[in-house]
Amino acid sequence: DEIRMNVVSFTPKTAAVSDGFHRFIEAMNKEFEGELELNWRGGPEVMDPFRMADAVRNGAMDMALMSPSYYSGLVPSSPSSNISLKSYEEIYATGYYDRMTEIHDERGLVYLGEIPASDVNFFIFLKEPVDNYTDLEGKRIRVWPAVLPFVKGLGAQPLVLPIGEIYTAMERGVIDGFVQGNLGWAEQFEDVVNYYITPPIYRAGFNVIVNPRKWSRLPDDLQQRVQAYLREELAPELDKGWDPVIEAGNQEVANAGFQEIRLSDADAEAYLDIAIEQAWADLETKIDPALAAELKAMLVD
Amino acid sequence: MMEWWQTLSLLLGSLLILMVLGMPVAFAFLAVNLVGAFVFLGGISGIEQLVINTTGALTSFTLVPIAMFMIMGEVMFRSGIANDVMDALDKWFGRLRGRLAFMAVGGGVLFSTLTGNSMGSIALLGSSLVPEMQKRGYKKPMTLGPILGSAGLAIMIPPSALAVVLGVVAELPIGRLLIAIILPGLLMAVLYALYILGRCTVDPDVAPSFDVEKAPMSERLIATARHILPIGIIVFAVVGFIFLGIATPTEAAASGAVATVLLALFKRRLSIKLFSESLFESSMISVMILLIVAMAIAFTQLLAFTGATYGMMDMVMNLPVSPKMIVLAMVFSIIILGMFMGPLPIMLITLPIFVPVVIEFGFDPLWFAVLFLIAIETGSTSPPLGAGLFVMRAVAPKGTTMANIYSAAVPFLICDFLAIALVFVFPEIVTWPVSLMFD
Amino acid sequence: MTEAALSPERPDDRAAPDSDSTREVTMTALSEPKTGLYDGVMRLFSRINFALACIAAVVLLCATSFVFLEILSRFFLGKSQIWVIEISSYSLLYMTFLGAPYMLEKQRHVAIDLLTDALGEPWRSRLAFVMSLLAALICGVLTWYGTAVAWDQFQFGTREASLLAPKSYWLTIVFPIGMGLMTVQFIDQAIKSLRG
Ligand code: NA
Ligand code: NA
Repeated sequence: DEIRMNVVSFTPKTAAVSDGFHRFIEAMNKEFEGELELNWRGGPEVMDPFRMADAVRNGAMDMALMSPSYYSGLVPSSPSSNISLKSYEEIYATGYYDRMTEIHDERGLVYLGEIPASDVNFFIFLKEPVDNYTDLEGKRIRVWPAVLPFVKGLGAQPLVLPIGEIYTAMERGVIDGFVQGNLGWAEQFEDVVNYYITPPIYRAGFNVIVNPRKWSRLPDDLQQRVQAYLREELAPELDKGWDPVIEAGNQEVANAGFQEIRLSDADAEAYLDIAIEQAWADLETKIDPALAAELKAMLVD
Repeated sequence: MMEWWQTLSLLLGSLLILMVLGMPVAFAFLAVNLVGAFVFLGGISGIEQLVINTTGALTSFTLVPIAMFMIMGEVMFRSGIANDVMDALDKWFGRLRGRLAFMAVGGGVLFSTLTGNSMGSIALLGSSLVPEMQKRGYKKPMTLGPILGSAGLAIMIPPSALAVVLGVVAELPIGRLLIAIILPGLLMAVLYALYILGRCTVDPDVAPSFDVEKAPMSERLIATARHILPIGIIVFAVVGFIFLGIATPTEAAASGAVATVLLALFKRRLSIKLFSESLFESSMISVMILLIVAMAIAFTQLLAFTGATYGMMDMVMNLPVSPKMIVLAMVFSIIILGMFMGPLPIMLITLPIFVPVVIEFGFDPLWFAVLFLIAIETGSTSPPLGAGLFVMRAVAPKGTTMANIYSAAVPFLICDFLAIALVFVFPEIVTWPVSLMFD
Repeated sequence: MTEAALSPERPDDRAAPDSDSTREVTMTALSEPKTGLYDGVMRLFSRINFALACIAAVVLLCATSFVFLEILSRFFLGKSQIWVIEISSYSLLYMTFLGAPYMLEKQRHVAIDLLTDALGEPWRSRLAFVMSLLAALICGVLTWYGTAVAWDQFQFGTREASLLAPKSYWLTIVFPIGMGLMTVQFIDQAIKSLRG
C-alpha cells in the first residue's frame, strides 16, 4: 500500500525558485502513483527554513527540499554543490552525488538527490555603476554566509542584513549593493537597483533529503527505483526545465530597467576565479581538507 | 482525517479555554503547541522539533528593536523626560481637554515614522506615556486606547518593514506601496483624534481638565527649548540616522536607545541606580513580550502545517458572492488571522492566494495591499487574542486588567473598521497619491 | 497567599516611580526570615532566578551596545562588524529564557484575568492549583526534551548554518534551563495555592 510523506521546502510554494519543486512533486507522484505519495505541506510559513533539516533528521518531517547552505550546520560539506559552474550531468558523471549520499548517511540523513538548477545563478546588484569588478573594493555589499568569502575576496565590505531590510538599506544608502539570484523580484526593486554585473556566479541546486526511518519503510526495490528515477531521469529534465522561469526573471530585470555591466572576457575570468576559489578556500577551513580536495576535483575543472 | 475547521476550532478552542482559565498567555500557547506537535508532527520527534522551532523563532534580528524600544520608553519614563514633555505641552495647550490623549496619537504618528514594528511602538508609548497620563487623572479608555490605536500606525507610515515585506511577497512595487500607505495612515490618525474629541466632549471625566495656570509666552518658549527640542535629538538618532543612511530601521532602535540615555545623562537625571533599574525593567518586559511572540510563532506554524489556515483561505475564495464582497471577506479573514498570528506567516499564507484573484477581478493590487495592512494592524489589537493587547498588558501600570485593555481598544478598532470602509469605498485614497508621485 | 497564584501581580514600581525597584523588593523578600526546608529551597531558587534575570539585563545592554557600535564602526571606520546581527539575535534568545523564570516568580507573565477576577474563593485557588500543575507538567516535559535536544546536538556536533556557525547546543541549552526553573516555580505556585 501507498506510503505518504510530508514534505517541506525552504522557499514558499509560490516563489519563483519553487517552480522546480512543483515539477519535482508532480513528476514523483505521477511516476510512483499507488506506491509513494509526497504531500507538500508548505514552506517557511510551516517551519523556519533553517530548522527543516533538523526536522528531517529527527523525523518530525519526512522530506525537505533544501538549499544546501541552509543546513551546513548539520552537513558542513553540503554547500559545495553551489561552488561550481558545471551542469548537472557533468557533475553526475563524476560520482559527486554518490559521495554526497555517503556523507549525508554519516550525518543521519538520506540524500535522495538534487533538484538541479544549473542555469539559475547569482549576480551582484548595484545602485551606482562600476567600470570593473575592481571598483567594488570598499563598497558595502549585503551577503548571506555562502557568498561572504567571494565578496571579501573582491575587497568589498560584506554586510549581513535581514532580507526585509535590503530595500530600505539600498534606498538610504546603507548598502551599495547585494548578491542575489534574478528570479521574481526585480520589478519590486526598480526604484533602488540600477545595475547588475555579469557574468553571473555559482550554480543553484536544491537537495532532496529524507528521514532514514521513513525511508526504510519503503521496500528496497522501491528505494532503488525512486533514487534512480530522480538521479537519472528526472534531475536532468528538471535542470533543463528552468528556461521559462529564467526567461521571466530576465524579462522582469529588463522591465525594471536594470542595466547590465558586462565584464570583459579577461576580467570575467578573474572575477569568476575569485568567486570559485574564495568559496573553496573558505570551505576548506570548515571541513576536512582531504574531503574538500576530493569534492573540488569533482565540481571544478 | 479531520476537516480544516475541526482542527482550527480544536486548536484555537483549547488555546482560548486555557487562557480564560487563567493560564498565562505564553504558557497557554506552549501547552497547545506541545500537544499539537505531538499529534501532528510525529510524536516525540514533534516535541523535539517544537524545542528547535521555539528557540529558532527567538534568534531573529527583526525582533531585536522591540527590546531596544523598551529601553527608550523606560529611560524616558524613569528619568522624567516624558514628564517634562507633558509639562511643556501643558503650558501650550493648558485648556485643551484630552490634550495628552491627542499627544498619544501624535506620538503614535511620530513614532510610527521611527519604526516599522507596532509591538515596539506599543511597548515604547505604553511604558513612557501611560503612567504619566494616569498620574494626571486620565482614565484608562483615554490612556490605553489612543496608544493601542495609534501604535499600529507604525506599519502604515514609512519606514515600514512590514510594507516592504508585503511588497516582496505579493510582488508589488515597493516604492509605490510605501507612498500608498501614507494617506490611509494619516486618515486613521485623524479618525482617532476625532473619536478622542467626541469622547472628551460627551464624557469629560475620562480626561480631566485640571487647571494649569496660564503660562506667559516666555515661559512656554523656555519650556519648549528645554524639554521638547531635546526630544528632537532622539528623533534624529532614529529617523535622521535612517534617512541619512547611517543605520537600517532595525539598527536605529539602538541609536535611539543610546540617544535617550545620553539625553537623560545630560539632563543629570540618570543615576547608575536609575539606569540599572530601567535596563532591568526593559529587559524583563521584553522577556514577557518575546516569550509570547515566540510561542505564537510556533502556534502559527502548527496551524499552517495542519492545513487549517489554507482551508480557511479556500472557503473565503469560494464564497458564492460578488468580487467586491469576496475582497471584503478576504480582509475580514485577515483581521481574524491577525488576532492570533504574526503578520509574516499571514502574508506568506494569504497573499499568494489572494493577490492573483484581486488582480483577476480587475482591482488595483496596491489598494488591496493597503486594506491588507490596515486589517493586520486591526487584528493585532483585536480582543481577545491580539498580540498588541498582551504587549500593552505587559507595559501598563499595576491594576490594569485585560478587561480594561479590551474595552479601551474597542472604540479605536471601530475607527480602524471605518478606515477600512473608507479605503474600500474610495480607492482614490490609495491611488491618488501614487499617481501624483509616479505618473 | 490569598491571591490566585496565576493572576499576575505587578510590583508597584510604576504608579510611584520614586519607590524602590523590583530589585529592592526581591532583596527584602530574600532577607525575610522564614522557616522550613521548603522555604529555604525556594529562597535559593529565588536567588538563582534573580541572578539570571540580572544576566538577562546585561545581555540586553550588550546587544544594544554592539548594534550601536556597529553603526559607529560603519560610519567612522567604513567597516562593518558582520558578527553583530547574529550575536544580537542570539542575545534575544538568551535574554528571554534567562529572564522568564524571574518574571514567573513575580507572577508578571501576561494572563487573561477576566474569569479569575470574577471567581470567589475557594474556586479561585482550586483553579489556580490545577492550572499551575498543568503548566508545571508542560514545562517539565519541555525541560526533559529540551535537554535531550541539546544533548543530541552536543554529541552530534550540530552547528548553526550561519556566519559564526556556533555549536547549536550553546543556543538550545538555555531553553531547558529556563523551562526547568519555570517548572519549579509552577510547582511552588501550585503548592502555595493549596496552602491558601
Ligand atoms: Na513606520
Ligand atoms: Na489601530
